[in-house]
Amino acid sequence: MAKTNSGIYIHIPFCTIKCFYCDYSSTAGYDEDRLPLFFNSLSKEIEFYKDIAHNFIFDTIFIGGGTPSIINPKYIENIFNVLSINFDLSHATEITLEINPGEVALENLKTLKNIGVNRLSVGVQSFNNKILHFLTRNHKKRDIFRTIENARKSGFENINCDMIYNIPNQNQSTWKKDLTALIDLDIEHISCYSLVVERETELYQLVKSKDIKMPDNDNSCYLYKSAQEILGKKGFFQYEVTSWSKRNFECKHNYHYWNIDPCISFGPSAHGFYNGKRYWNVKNIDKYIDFISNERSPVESSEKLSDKDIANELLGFGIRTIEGLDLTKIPESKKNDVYFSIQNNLKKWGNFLIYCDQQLKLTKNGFLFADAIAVDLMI
Amino acid sequence: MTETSFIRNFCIIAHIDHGKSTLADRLLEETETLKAKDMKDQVLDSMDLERERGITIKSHPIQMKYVDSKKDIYTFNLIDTPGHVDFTYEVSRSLAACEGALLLVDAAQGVEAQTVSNTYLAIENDLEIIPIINKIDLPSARTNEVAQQIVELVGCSTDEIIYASAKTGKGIIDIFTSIIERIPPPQDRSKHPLRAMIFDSVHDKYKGAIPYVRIFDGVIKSGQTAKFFTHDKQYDITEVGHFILDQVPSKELRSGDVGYLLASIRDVSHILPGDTITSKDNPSKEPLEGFKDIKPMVFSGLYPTNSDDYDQLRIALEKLKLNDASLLFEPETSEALGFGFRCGFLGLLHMEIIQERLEREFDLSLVTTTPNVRYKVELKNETLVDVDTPAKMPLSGEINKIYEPIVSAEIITPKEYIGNIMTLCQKKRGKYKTTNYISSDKAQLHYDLPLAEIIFDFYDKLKSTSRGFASLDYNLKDYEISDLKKLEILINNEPVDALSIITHSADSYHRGVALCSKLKELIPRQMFDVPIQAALGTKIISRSTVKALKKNVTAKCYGGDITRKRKLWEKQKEGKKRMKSIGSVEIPQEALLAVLQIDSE
Repeated sequence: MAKTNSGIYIHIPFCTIKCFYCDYSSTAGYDEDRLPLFFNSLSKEIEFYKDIAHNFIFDTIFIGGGTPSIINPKYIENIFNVLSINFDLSHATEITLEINPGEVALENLKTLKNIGVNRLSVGVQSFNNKILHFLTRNHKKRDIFRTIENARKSGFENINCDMIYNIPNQNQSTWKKDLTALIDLDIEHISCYSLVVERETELYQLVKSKDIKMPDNDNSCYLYKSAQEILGKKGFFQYEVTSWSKRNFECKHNYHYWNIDPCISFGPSAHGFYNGKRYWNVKNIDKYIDFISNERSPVESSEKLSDKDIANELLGFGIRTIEGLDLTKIPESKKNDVYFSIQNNLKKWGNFLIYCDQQLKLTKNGFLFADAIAVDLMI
Repeated sequence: MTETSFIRNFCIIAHIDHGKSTLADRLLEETETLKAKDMKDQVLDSMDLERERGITIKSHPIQMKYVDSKKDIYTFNLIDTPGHVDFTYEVSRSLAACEGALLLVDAAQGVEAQTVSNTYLAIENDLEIIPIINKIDLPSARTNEVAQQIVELVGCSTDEIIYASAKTGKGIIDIFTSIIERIPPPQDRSKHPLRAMIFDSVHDKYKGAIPYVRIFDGVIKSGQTAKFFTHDKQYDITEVGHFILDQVPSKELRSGDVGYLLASIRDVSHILPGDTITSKDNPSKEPLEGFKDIKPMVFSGLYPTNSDDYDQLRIALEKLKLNDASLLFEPETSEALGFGFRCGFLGLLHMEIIQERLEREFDLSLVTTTPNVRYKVELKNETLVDVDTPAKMPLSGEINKIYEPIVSAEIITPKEYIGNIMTLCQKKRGKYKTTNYISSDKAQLHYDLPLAEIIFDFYDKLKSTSRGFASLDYNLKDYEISDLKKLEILINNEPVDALSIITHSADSYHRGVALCSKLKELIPRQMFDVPIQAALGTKIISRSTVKALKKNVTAKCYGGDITRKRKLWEKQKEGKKRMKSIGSVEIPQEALLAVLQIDSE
């Protein structure tokens, strides 16, 4: 079997504070003394996978969370050492680490660069201090500038900033100001995420109790379109529903998700995928440590994908990228169903959906309806 | 063979949940028809749906042997009766097969409307009635009060009432003794020419339609040729038998017996409940009394969500009809919904049951239209036409008069809700008849009501206005002239036949307004603005707009959790399968039934 390009994901579940909209697995605050134990477990988990490692070409590593930048970089260095012992990392050309503005010192950035991190993903979210406060973020506008400056000083040449729109009280002018400030940072990559009300968040409770009212559909549409327009004009190329970059700075790691490529993932709550099987680890950090210290796998559960599942994942996520979905990747047994579904949907979504040379993709306006179209395409 | 004097044929009359099935179980257990360990709870309700809803849809007779203290062996035939207002005629045929009835009343709930109407049916059929108060061990039992209600209802003395708990077995022996002593045995008329009444039937894949019969006169055995009074088909009888738990063949069935017969009857419509079977060789001149050709009262369109499933739906309906002669269907075409069937049902519950069975047992996804009644329309040229779908209502210029079905309704309620119920009945165009008190705090109201109002949302309103205590029973009374109008709904400027309704003039305006605003809620935003209009004739009386959807994308970072998103898409896709495309507008099933949801307050 030909080796596939694959990713490695490492989940560091610690933050200084927990943002009220966030449903990713993370713990606000941590016990410095417990960190060695956690990272020992992580190293051991990596070792569990050494036997299957040779089946894949790992070309990306993503260290996310949580906020991995608040941890002493020596732990990250140690993880890299364990990784390189067990996995062939010679193809890993994109190594990303998530940081928050104001939460990483210059010297730490330098260390991270030295140990091999070559891409930073910065949780900017907004430049408006009121909105940052509303989002319960820990940073202010000025922290953003200092962090980006330090990143450049440390030699990082590939920086992403995450932005959030569709925030209550965010009007069109604050969003446009955010976008302009972002462009002025002269970074390589921008992700714009819409604020989504997820269950099990404080935001969900506040929306439910009507203490917070989310912006309506028309408004979020306007904000999305202005991002497309403003970023497009300034040389950012939209290559996915939520992602813009300068040429050749697309995020290779995220492409693994959209292409339904394998990704081996470590750490509590991490979701991985290989050999047609999705698995996810236990969320609770203590449980995670317990399992591993007892020589047990921290995988909470897993699911073997059927051909139909794979076809549907390819359809739903494939159309989110500018290249679209390469239909030759659809499992043979489901090709007829998929072609049938496409034919049906071309009638309905003809203005937004392009089918040509075994590629199925959305137009720029089609990005606005990616979910509605994905639903209709499901076989 | 049991001598006629040792046979007792009886049924149980009870309201839903008053414990009929539990009592039946105890009788089966006590007579060792079934060992306790073999019993699933409530043997008689054999369909899954019956078990879930706790009601009996089809009746199942069962034969038991009971040995009394003198060591005499009795044959008991328990003929189970369906327990809902829709099935009154089936109940009446089951009753006609018996000499006695156990009237079972819940000690906490007391007498309900259905109990009353079925008891009257039993009295009309000259049945000996044994009143039983069940669940006397409940903390909430109001045994004395309920006893008074029963005395009022059947005119017995309190001494004649048996106090029981089917659950614990208390009173069961008294019930057996009463069955023997108080219910008369059937008359022995085995020397007369054969007369057997059909009271039910089932369909068997291999054996065909199997009539359940009560033999009144003569003897029936295999080799005879059966002749029916309602049609001229004849069938050679190949087997007769009793019901023990399953069908058990026997040499013959004699006057007084209850059993079944096999005659390779393929066409279920040849077995009509209430019809009389006689024999070709020595036929009886007259049929037994009481046959009625039962007609459906409620109509609704059934359409496959996926038009490719049309044939499957037809086959499924044909199969259901084999066991349910009262189900009627004929092909219908709707501009909005494509090819489907207009189906006739005995009532709303019957309709729901059929729809649910089609979806569950035949795995069909269906779109159903708003139920309606059958109107009689007199045209200007004096011809009379039946209209059972609003889409077929002639243009108002061609209509002379419209007649609508009126039912006489009986409502039993604790007296504190009388005011609320009267207000409700008035709103529903009811005509007040009488009020009787059946005990110091329970009243019986009689109203004439348009059936169309009853199938609208009357039952739910009655329940909510009486906190669940009032009960309803009704019978078709007559057709009366009424001032009715057709209200049309236009979606995206096109009239949608499946959404049009027939409504009384006085209600037409506010129903139009309410429908427009309800549809606006129920129709999801599309890619373009969708106007919704209500029209009376050519006049638009109301309008609302479903605004276009501008964006439908979750712009979130998914990380590795791809599967969760896929499952959400797949689930939404399933939901969309239940939508119908009308023109280019996707309409969910709930929207087609919107009229049932609008508040007529």
